[in-house]
Amino acid sequence: MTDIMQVDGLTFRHNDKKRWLKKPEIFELGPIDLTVQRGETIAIIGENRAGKSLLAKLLVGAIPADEGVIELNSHKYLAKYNQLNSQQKRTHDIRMILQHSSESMNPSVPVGRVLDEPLRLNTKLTEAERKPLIEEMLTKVGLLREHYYFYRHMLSDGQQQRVSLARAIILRPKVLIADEPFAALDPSIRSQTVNLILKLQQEMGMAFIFISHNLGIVRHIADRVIVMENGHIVEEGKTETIFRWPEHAITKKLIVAYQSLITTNTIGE
Amino acid sequence: MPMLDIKNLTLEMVAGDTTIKALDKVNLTVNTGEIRALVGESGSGKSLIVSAICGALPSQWRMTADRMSWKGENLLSMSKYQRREVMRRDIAVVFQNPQTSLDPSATLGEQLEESIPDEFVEGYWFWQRAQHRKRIAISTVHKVGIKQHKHYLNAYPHQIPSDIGQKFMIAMALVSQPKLLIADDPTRGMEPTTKTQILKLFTRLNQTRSLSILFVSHDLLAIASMSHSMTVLYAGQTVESGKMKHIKKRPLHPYTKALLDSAPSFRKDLPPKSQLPTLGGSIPTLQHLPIGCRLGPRCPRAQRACVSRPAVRHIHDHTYNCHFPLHMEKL
Repeated sequence: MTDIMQVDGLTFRHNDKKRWLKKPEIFELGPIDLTVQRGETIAIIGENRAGKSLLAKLLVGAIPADEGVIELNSHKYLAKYNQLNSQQKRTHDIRMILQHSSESMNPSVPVGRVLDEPLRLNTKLTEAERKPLIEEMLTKVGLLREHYYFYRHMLSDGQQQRVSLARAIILRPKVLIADEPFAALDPSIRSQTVNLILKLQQEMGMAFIFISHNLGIVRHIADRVIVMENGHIVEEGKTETIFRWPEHAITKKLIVAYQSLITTNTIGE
Repeated sequence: MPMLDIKNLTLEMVAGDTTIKALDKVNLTVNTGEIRALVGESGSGKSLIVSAICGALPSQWRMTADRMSWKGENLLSMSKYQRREVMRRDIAVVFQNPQTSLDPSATLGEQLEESIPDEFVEGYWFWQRAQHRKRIAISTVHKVGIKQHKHYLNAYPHQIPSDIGQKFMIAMALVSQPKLLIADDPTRGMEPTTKTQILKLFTRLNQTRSLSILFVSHDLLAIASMSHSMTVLYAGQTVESGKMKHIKKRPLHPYTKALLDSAPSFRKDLPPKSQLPTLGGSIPTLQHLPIGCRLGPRCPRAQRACVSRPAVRHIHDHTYNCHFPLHMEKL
């Protein structure tokens, strides 16, 4: 296995300016060190306000960090600077699925245009070359070619999730990051999406980093688990190890809560 | 004895010259001291049932039911005043989205104090009553697991995170000490620790005060851990209902089986990263509902007979609507 992404000392500081009689609010994320290997699946778990979503956004570059280096495919980026040409390379290599896939799509343009946008902005392909690529992507995520002309409101939840997945993988990224991709989905659609991601990951060999509260799915698909609290990684390890022998207090709390749901189930039988 | 008893509830919406049947002959009973789960995917009409029980349906819906009774009293023929009295004292509802169902222009404390019934407040003079009201509010808030009451009682709905809002809705529902609590997706988007906290609270209330709970959700793990019986809905039809134990052990309807399979935590033998079993296709929209059994096009066992609507069949207290149920040979 080769390292595909290396993150060193990624930090982010947020502080409100001090106002009259108001305590400044300080939130610090990091420093975070992380290595991601080719084809690996990493899950980020933790309580609310632990900085999970922020970490995801920092990794993609949606929010500039204060310090730190991200080394992707032996190409170094300073996380602080959002230079245009390095940004373009980075959008090629890391892509993200946002939390609410339905709200992250432009309602006034058809699906084809939604998928066309990353290609138009990041590649030098002509229109004649782009269209077959988009159609290929649509069939790959289990939609039809006709969906090119559909608008957002004509699609169901699961189909919208598929479109946002297609938008993320259309540039053939090395790393795919998802912020709660399964939370808003119904059970049967959720298993479809899990299957689809597993299949695409096998085909394209990309690394997949996702945030989830659903520990059942985490246990099922993740190779490694990262536990966060207050902007720091407090524990990290193989999925089975974390689930069997949690060490940090927060991890124990999460795992115990999850196990208590399961064991009451088995007793009930 | 059934507390809430609904039989053949049908909800139709007139849209132009066609009528859309959003709920098709739904049966639901909640017994005294029981936690009943109502499971279904989005668009299956779970929330419509909840608003039909509250009497909060918009006027364009046409509701018909053979029976809809609360402790033997008919809810359909009740006057508006009586109905409101039942809703205020006996049934409490936790709505789906706390951010939109709380009043944005009042603080949470004011809203909570408003929902305390007058009979619970002691004291003769107004300041004594106000103090007592506040004490009740604080103790209820503690009960649902919000520790910093000072901060949150003075906050407005937009200033709080959504899990606190969710807990607050539960507090507002519990403050009038209802007989039945209807919780519409109360654990959506919660992290595991908060979720178990809320579920434990529900179980405790059910055991100590024999509060009946209608738990509407699609989080099967949460449902399976606490509820006694379950009703499964698909696209506005009841699919299967019965004791949780029986359904989990031997689901009779293919859809129930697919639902149970979709939670990987239920199955210890599943190798990691393997494909999960699913039903193909997606949930039909209300405008394009299939005729007969609405699962038809997605069902792996569908046959020709499935174009007609399956009748309700009973095996003891386990009912199901399917022409070709699973596991029949074992029974």
